[in-house]
Amino acid sequence: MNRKVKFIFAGLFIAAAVLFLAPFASKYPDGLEKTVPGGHNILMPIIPEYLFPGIHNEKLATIAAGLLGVITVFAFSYLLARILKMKDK
Amino acid sequence: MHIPDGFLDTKTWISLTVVSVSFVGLAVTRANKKIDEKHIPVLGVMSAFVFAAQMVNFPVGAGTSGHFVGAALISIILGPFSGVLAMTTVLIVQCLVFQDGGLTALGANIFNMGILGSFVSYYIYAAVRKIIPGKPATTAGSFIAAWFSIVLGAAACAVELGVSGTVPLKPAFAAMVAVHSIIGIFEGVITAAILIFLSKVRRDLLTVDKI
Repeated sequence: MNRKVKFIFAGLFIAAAVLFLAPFASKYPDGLEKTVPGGHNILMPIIPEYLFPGIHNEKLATIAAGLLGVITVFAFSYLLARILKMKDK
Repeated sequence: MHIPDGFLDTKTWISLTVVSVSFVGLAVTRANKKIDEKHIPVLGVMSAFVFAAQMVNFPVGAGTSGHFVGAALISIILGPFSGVLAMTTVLIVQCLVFQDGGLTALGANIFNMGILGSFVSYYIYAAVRKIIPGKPATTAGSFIAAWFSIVLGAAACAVELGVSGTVPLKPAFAAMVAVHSIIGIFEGVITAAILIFLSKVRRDLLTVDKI
């Protein structure tokens, strides 16, 4: 494994490790929600409330949703950077 | 600090969308010119880490929570335009997949957390490093920069809600700044701790060219 692949695995491992804290995250409203309650989004969420659909254990559903998000964000950001590098300078 | 749909009036969300699209366009152009092979995995991994860390809300007292945002961390390591790009990818995924933050408020959220957060923290960090020499500058600079990225983002958020007529500006501004002054301390401590950690394990990451 080269240095770059090792770095990516180590980084994603740390991100995944952080996700194991997510089921224990505070359920209190955040600073904005506390100041201005309410608000409804117009899109239907694919993954509502950061809970992966079909997983009944809430802690596992949170971690699964988080893993999906981590992989999606990584792929999006990495590919964006890769495309920006590819274009002629 | 993710604004949902319905909190911003049309003039406000359209203006902020235009501003954010312009900044992201500028960031794309800059990155296109300056991005190097070694930036690519770092940008991907840092974006993914920020997404994960944003899921971990911590209590800050008075029945309120906060979470790490991460713009300061990324822009100190990779530069402000990289910060904008990384935060934009995080916010787009949060909005489209998880409906955390409204679609009409996406531009505002990118502005408050991504653009403002990245630029404010990058320049404050640089300024502190000019004043304080050596290693303490990294710690002090990143803490102060990260604190301001949160507090100014929250202040901007309050102004946007105020001019939209959603809330009376003065009390909302005071409340948002007050609670985010606490949340900002966490942001500062986490940002500084990660930078200290990286300076021990991967010092080279801190010296990549800033975009």
